[in-house]
Amino acid sequence: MGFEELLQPHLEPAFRLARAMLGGHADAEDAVQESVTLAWRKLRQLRDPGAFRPWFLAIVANRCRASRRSAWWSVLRVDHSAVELDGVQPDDDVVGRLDLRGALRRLGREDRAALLLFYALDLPVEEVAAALGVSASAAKARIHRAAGRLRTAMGEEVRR
Amino acid sequence: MNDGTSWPELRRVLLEETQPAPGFEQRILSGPGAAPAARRSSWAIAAAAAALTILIVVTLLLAGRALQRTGVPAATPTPPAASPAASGPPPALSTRSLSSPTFDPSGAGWVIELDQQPPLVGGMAVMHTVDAGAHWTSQLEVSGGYADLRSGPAGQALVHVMGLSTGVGAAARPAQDSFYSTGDGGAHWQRYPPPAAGIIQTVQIQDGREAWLTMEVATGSGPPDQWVIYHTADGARTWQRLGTVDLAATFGASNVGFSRSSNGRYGVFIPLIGSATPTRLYTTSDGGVHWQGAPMPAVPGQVPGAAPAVFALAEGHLAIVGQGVLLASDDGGQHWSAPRPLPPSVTGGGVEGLDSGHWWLTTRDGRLFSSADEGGTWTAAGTLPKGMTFGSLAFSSPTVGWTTASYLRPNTGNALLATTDGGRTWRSVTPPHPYATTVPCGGAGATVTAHAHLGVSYDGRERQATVPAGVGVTDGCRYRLTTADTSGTIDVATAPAERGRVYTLGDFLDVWGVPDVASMAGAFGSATRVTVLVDGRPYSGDPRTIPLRNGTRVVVQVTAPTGGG
Repeated sequence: MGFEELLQPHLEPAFRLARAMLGGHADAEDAVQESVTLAWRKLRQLRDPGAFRPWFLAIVANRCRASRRSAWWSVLRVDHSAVELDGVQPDDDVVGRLDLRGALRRLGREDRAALLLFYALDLPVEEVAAALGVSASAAKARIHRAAGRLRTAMGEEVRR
Repeated sequence: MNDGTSWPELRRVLLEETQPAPGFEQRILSGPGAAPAARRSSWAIAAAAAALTILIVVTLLLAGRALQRTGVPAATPTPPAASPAASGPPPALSTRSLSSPTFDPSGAGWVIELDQQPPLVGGMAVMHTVDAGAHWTSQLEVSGGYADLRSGPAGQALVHVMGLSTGVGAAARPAQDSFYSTGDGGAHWQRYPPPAAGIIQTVQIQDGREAWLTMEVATGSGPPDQWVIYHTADGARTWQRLGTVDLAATFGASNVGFSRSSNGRYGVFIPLIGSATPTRLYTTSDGGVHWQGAPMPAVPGQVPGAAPAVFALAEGHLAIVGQGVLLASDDGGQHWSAPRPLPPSVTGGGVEGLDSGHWWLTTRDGRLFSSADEGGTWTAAGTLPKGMTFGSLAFSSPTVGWTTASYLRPNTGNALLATTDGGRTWRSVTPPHPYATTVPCGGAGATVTAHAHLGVSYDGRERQATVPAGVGVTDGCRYRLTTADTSGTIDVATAPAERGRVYTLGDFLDVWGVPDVASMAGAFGSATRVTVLVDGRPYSGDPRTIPLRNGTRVVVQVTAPTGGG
């Protein structure tokens, strides 16, 4: 199987992970593009092709962490895509989602990443752990804590 | 079992919030994304390459039209400067990953070399010179991802190695940041952990002893709601907790942003996500304990949605580069100048400053301009070797500076260049690469005894000039495996005591500094298959073991499904 075939199914999850951690479209695309290049160059280090998804997502997550913290990035960027909700009709359902969106944005990037990987992308805990670079037990705890923080941030108890 | 459907609303919002824009897969696979940061880390610039060049050209054209439409004043012509001298040919291509060049006026300096491209975690070495890059010694060889380094007087240096997670599954290891400090020019290093457990948001190293660190913490069971700010004045041995910043009270609803300090006391923070209020710039002048908010200035000609580039210079000076203009602040962003035009034909770039009388503007095509009046007027100062672009830039005096310049080619790294004439000319002072190689270097009596050939073909057509000239030729010595031109011919030398030794393709790649044959294939594109031919026949073993005998022809064959490379 060629690299592109191996990669293609994981591009969208990778982008979503980057978006959850970085916020902006352009930053997320940059992060995934750079991760793709790196993954391609280092593919021979991957012994088990079956582990490609968590391996690649871990590269993306590291890229996102580093792009946020890299000290030699002296550029400060403002991404106006954050205000894309303007113009949404405020019916009850949308208002509810706005609360949830606001709560999600108040979470730390690692919490958002954990919630996305587990609840939206349906990754098993073991793959969430691999992508986030923690043990499975730590991943469970992180998902649980993130969900708790989300409930707190929403100011209400959310049923699971 | 993951029961993602039991919280459908969260799932739906998460998917909506992270929805890709149409065509994102094509953009990702075909090259770097749009609207790159005005100054990207050097390895990312290297990965940009040809697509980036096209983007720049298009941007220049569009920006020029936009400026005409929006009535931005035309750039004031600067006095014609003496035509900058060419900086000579660029150094040989490599995949080196150099960062954090820091030098003092005496010529003592440091640079970090990573043997993996971040964010992959690999070995890193701190390289030290006492003679402006003529000779280097390798120090502090540790594992890490990103790292930053600043130095001070009397051999002081402080390194922050960013922890990145490694491994997959049971082998996964969590991220752990570390600090390394030396006070004797790197003869001895001490490792120190961060002051507390938690997510480190930023680390700002001021010099070899002093640094600031911000860490996200949660005061209750809720989300992170505070920054704790720590300060060290003894090379990270001890940290003092300066105070906390209430994120909600200080920055509003946002808890995401970049921060950057020009000297640790002046800080800058821009909320990025979730801000319900117009974008504001927050600054501090007491190390981060107290913050002031001020509106971001309007940048003329700025395309709606585009990100302004803010550069934090020394002592509270800030610069914003927009489309063909620069805005300056000398009070940490409280007040801003009127738009000041960039040099003609320049629409953007990076800004560095030594002091208020010495600012530099770098462009992606390797031009350097200087200003003595905080960007009021610009003078052409010089250019990098053709085909290179600026990475990290640091000047230790108005005339002496260094940059980790990147090649404008895909999948290449960077080189350390130095100037002693204010940026007019640049020369390579790249340290000899630290890759472990058993290929001898230097020594008397070595003569060329064989010629092998190494090339890359795309869909059956050989790609010219893939292997650069000058491989194996360094300032200090000459390896047994070298290239004299870009034809792909490898000159194999042998010393009398080495008769019978057969070098391999792996030996050559180590000397070149290229990790594997796949990396040679250049642009990622849509290549799906890499095969290796030796004398016209497929080679099924590890390509690194291919013996380089006289007349051996090695071709790395890249096959693309759509017929493109």
